[in-house]
Amino acid sequence: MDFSSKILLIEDDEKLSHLLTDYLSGYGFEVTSLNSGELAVEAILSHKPDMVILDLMLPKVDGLTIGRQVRNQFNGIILMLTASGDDMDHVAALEMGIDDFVQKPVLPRVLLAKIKSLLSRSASLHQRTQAKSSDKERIFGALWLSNVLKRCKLNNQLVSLTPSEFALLWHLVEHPEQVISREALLKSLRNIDYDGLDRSIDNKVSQIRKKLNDSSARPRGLITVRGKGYMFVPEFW
Amino acid sequence: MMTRLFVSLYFGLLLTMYLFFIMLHVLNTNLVVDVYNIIDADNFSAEITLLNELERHVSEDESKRLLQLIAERNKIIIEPVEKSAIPLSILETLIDHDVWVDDEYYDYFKVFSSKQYYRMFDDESNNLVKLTEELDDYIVLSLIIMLAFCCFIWFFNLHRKLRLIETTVVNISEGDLTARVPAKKSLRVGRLNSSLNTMADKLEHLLDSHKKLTLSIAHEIRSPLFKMQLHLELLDKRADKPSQEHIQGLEDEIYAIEEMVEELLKFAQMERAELKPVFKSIVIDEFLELNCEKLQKECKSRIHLQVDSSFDLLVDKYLLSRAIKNLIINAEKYGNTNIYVIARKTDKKIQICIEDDGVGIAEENTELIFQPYYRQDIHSGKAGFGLGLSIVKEIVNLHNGNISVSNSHYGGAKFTLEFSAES
Repeated sequence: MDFSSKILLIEDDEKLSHLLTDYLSGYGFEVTSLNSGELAVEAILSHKPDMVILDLMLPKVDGLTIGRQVRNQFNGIILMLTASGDDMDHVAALEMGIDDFVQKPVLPRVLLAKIKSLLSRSASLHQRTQAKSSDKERIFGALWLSNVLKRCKLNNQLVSLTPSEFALLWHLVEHPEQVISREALLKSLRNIDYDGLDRSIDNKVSQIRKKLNDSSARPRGLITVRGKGYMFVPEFW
Repeated sequence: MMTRLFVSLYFGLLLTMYLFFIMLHVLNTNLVVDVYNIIDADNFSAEITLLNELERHVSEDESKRLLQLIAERNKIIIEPVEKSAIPLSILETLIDHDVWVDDEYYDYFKVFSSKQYYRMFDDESNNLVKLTEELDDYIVLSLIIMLAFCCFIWFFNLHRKLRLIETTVVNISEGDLTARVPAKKSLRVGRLNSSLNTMADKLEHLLDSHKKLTLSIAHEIRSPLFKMQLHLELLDKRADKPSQEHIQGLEDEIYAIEEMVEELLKFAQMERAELKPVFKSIVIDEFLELNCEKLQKECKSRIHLQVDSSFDLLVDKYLLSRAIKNLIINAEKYGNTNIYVIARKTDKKIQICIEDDGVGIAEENTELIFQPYYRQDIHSGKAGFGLGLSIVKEIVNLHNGNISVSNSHYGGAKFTLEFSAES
C-alpha cells in the first residue's frame, strides 16, 4: 500500500481540518488542507492529489458541485464527508462521480481504513501486478496465522485458540480494515463445531483479545465499532 | 364509490318526486277542498241538468240514447246501479248533489225524475284513453331516464374532480409533499381545491423547516463529536493504560450522544413519512439472538431470550432491530436485573414480548408513554429525549402491527408487539 499518498482535505471547519490533518499525517499521508470551496476546483486540478476528502456542507460552493466540476479532469478518488445520512441522495451523488461517503461522526480508525481501502483499490486498478498474499497464511507484524494448520502465533509464541475462535479471527483477518457485522461473523461459524458454553460472538472476540494481549478496556488490534461490528487493524500487530 | 353515490342520489331524487306528488295530491284533496273533483262534478252536473230538463220533452228511449251519447263523448262507460251498491257516504252527498266525483274507480250520479242512480268509469277500450295512458307511461319513463342521465353526468363530473383531490391527499399523506390539485375552473369543487393546495403549501413549508431544523441540529452536534473522537484518537497514542480507560469512557459517552442524535433524526424522518420500509424475510430466532447478543453488551441486566418455535417473518430488519433495541434499552433503564424477550406464533398472530422486572408502568400512563418527548420521570437522571417508544410505535405501524403494554408477571412492564402471521 502506498503510504505517502497525497490527500487534499477540503473542510470549512478549521479545527476539524487541523485535527484530521494531524491524524492522517500520523499514518504517513501527505495532507494538504483547504478551508473553502471557492478555490477547490483549481487546487484539485493543480495539486493532483491521490484523494480528495470533501465536506458536503461548504459555504458558498457545496461539495457536490465541486465534485461534478472536477470529475472529468480529475482521476483521483473523491471521498465525501457528510453530517447526516439523509441530507442528500447518495445514489445520485455516486453517479455524479463521488467515490464514497463517510458520515460524521465516524470512528477515526474506520475513516482511516476506508481511506486506505479506497486508495489501494485504485492502486490495484492501475497496477494489477501487485503480489497477492497467500490464501493460507497471513502475517501482520508479530501476528502469524495459518489457515491450513489452524494455528496462530504471536511473537513466535503459539496462541491456543479454539476452532471457533480461530475461524472468527481468520474471518476478520481476511477482511482487514473492514467493519464486519456480527451477522457475518456468525455466518462464518456455521460449519464450526460448537465448542464452548457461550456461543456469543462478543464473548469469543473478548477471548481472542485476551489471548492476543489486546487491551480489553480499549482494544486497538481488534476494535469494536459500536452498533456495526468488529474490525481488524493490521498495523497494530 | 361512484356507483353507490350515483344510485343513492338517483333513487333519492325519484323518491323525492314521488313523495312530492303524493303530498300535492293530499294537499289538493284533503287539506283544502278537492278542487279538481269539484270542477269535474260541476261540469258533469251541467249535462245532467240538461238531461233532466229534456226528460219532459223527449221519450224515455231518446233520453237513454242521449245518456249513451254523453258516455261516448266523455269516453266513459255509464251503467245503472242499485242504490244499495253505492257506499253510504257517497249516497248521503248524492241527496243534495246530482254528481259525485272522486279518485276511486267509480264515480256516481243520479238523473231523471225516477232518480235512477248510475255509475261511470273510464272506457279503457277507447283509443284516445289508451293513448293517454300510454303517453302517461312514456312521460314517467322519460322522467326516470332523464333523472338517471342528469345524475350520471353530474356525478361523473364530480367524481372526476373528487378523484383528483383524493389522489392528491393520498400522495401528501404518503410523504409526497409536492402533490397539488389542479386549480383549473373546470376541476374545482367549491373552495376545496384552493384550500387544499394552501394547506399543502403550508405543510410543505412546515415540514421543510422541520427537516432543516433537525438536519442542522444533527450537523451542529455531529461535527464537534467527530472532533472529540479525533482528539481522543490522537491522545490515545501517547496515553498509558489507566488513561486509556478514561478515553474509552469518553468514547462511550460520545457514542451515547451520537445515538440520541440518531434517534431524534430517525423520529423526525418518520414523522415526515419519509421512511420507506424495505421488507425482507427473516428467521425469528436467529434475528432475535443476534439482536439480544448485540444489546447484552450495553445492558447490565441479563437478557433472557425464549423462542418457542422458529418461524419466518417479513419485516424491515433494520427498523425491527431498532424497535427491539429501544424496548430492551427501555427495559434496562426501568427494570432491575432481568429482561425477558419472548417470541411466539399462533395461527394468525406473531407476538414478540419484551418484559422487565422493574416497577412497571402506572395504568394512567400506558397511553402517554408512546407520545413523543414524554418521559416517565424527568428527574430520574436517565438520559434521552423520550422518543424511544414513539419510534417503536411508528415502526410497528409501518409493519401494520400493533403494540400494547401490560403488566409482566415478572413485576415490571410487558410490551407486546403483534404482527399478522400472513404478512
